[in-house]
Amino acid sequence: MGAEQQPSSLLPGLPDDIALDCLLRVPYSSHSGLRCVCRQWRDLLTSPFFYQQRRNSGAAESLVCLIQALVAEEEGDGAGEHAVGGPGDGGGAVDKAQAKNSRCGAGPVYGLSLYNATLREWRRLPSKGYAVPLFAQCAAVQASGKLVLLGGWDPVTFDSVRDVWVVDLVTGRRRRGAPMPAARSFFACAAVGPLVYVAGGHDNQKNALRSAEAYDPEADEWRSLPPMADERDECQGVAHGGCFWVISGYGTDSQGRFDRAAECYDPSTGLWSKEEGLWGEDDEPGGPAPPRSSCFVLPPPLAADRDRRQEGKLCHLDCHGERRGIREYDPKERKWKAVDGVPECLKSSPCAAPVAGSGELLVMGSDEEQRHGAWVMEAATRRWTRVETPTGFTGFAFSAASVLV
Amino acid sequence: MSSGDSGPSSSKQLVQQPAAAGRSPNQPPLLGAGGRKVIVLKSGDEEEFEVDLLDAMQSRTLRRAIEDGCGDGPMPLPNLTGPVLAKVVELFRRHRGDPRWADELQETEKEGMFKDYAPQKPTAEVKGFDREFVSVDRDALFDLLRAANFLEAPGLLDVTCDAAADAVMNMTVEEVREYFGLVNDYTPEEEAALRKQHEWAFQ
Repeated sequence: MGAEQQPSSLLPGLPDDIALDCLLRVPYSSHSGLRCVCRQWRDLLTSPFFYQQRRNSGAAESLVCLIQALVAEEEGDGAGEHAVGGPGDGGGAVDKAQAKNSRCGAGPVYGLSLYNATLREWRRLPSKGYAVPLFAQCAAVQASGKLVLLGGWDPVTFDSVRDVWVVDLVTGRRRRGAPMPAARSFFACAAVGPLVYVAGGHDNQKNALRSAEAYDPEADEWRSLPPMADERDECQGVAHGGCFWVISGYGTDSQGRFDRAAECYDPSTGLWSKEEGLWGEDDEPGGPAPPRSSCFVLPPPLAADRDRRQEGKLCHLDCHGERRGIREYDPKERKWKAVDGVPECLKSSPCAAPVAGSGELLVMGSDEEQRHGAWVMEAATRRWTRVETPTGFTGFAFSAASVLV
Repeated sequence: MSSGDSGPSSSKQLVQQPAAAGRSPNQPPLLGAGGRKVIVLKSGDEEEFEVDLLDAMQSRTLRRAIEDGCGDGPMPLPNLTGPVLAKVVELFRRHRGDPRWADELQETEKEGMFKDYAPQKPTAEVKGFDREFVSVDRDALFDLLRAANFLEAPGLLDVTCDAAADAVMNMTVEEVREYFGLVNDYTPEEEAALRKQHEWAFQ
C-alpha cells in the first residue's frame, strides 16, 4: 500500500528489522524453498548470522538426524498411508522403492532421517544419487550446523567404506567429504568442538582397530591422532568434558568379549588416557553401542542462563535384564548409578541422543513386535512420552546426532 | 484505600489507587495523577480511541510517551490510520495480562502500579482472537506489521510476524515473490541449481 520499493529491502514495504523478524520465524523445512526466491534471501538464509539470530530469538528448531534402516510403507493398509515424501515426493518414492527391494531380500537399505523435535515432524533426505552406507555413523558440529556421515558398509559388498558426506544445514548444501584415511565400521564417533573424531571399529579384514582420526568439516581435512592403547571394535564414542571418549569395544582376538576400559582423547594435550573399569562392572558386560545399548551424555536441564556451562552426565541406556534403565556414571566413585527407567514398551535396539537445545532425550528402539519407534524423555521431569512415528520411520536406527538450527 | 473493595479486576484497583501512599518523585506524572485510567489515542485521520492505560502500556512507544507526560490530551499517532488503530487497540484489550509484555512491565515496574498484576498464559480464546486478527490480506497485514514496529509492541509483533511467517511457509517460490513484490534476480542457471538443491532438501 503505497510502499516504496527499495531494491535493498528484505520485504519491500517493511523495515528490515521487522522483515528479519518475520523470516526468522519461518520453519526450517521451508528454508531451502526460500533460498530460491531471490539473491538477498539466499544470502540471508545461508548465513551463520541468520541461524545465530534464530537461536537468540528462540525460533531455532531442534533437529535429530538418524541413520536408519528404511521401511516400506504397509501395503494394503489403505487407511494408514503416510505421505513420507511430502509434497513433490521425488525422493520419498525412491526411498520406498528401495525399501521394498530390501524386503525382497536385496539387503537392508539405509537412509538419513530427520526428526524435528520442535515441530514433531519426520523427514528424510532424498536418496537421489546417494546411498547411505549400512551402519554409517553421524555426528553434528553445532557451531557450523554441519552434519557429517561417516563410514559403514557398502550396501552391496558389505565392505567397510571410507565414505564421508557433509550435510550443511545452514546452506542446505551437501557434498562428499574427504574420505576417511582408513575404511572403518562399528567405530566410535563424536563431535568435540569443531572436529569430528573417529576411533576403533574394524577394517575390511574384520581386524579391530586402534587407530583414531579427526575430521575438520570446514577445511575438509583429516588429521591423524595417536592410536589408542587397545583395539576396540563395536565401541561407542561420546563427547564429554571437552574430550572424545571411546567406550569399551573388543580386540580382534577377543571377539565379542567387551573390554572394561574406556579411552579418552584430550584435544588440548593431544593424548589418550585410559579409564579402567568404566565399562562392565558386572559379569555380563555386553556392548555399549546400538543395537545392544546406547551411551550418551545428558546435558543438565536447560538453565535460564544458557551460557553457563555445566557439565553433562555420561549415561547408558539398556533395555535388557538387570541393566534395564538409564544409568549415570559417577566419575568420583567410578560407578554407574541407576537413575531412570525406560518406557515399558521399549524392548530392544536402543539408540539414544540428547536433543540439542530442548532438554530432552530422544530414544529410538523397538517394541515387543519389533516395530521401531521413538520416545522422548524430558530431562527436567524425567517423564517419557511416545513420539508418533510414521511407518516410514519405524526402521532400526543405528546412529543419531542432534543440532539446533 | 481500596479497603473492602474487592473490585473485579486487579488492574482497576491498581489504577484507582491514588498517589496518596508517598509516590517516589521519579514516578511518571500521569500514573500518579489521581486515578486516571484511560488515555486517548488519535489516528492520522483524526479518529480518537479511548484506551485503558494498562493496555496502552503494551506498546513501549506509548509507554515512553506516557511516562514523559504526553498522555494528558489526545495522543497523536499520525502514521496509523483509524482502522489500523482500531484493530491494535482491540488486540491490546484482548492481550491484557499476556506474559509476552506483562513480564517486561513487571520487570521495570516492580514497585509501581503493576506490582500485583498477574500475567496469565494466553487462553484458547485469546489464541482464537489472534488467528482471526491476522486473517487479513497482505496490505492489511503489512499495515499491522508497520504499526507493531512503530508502537514497539511485543505482543502485536509476535502475532503479526508469525502470520507473515505462516503465509510464507505454505507458498511456492513464485507465490512468495508475488506476495512480497520481490524480483527474481537469479540467472536461469543459478536458479536451476538452487531448485535442484531444494529438491534434495529433507522432505
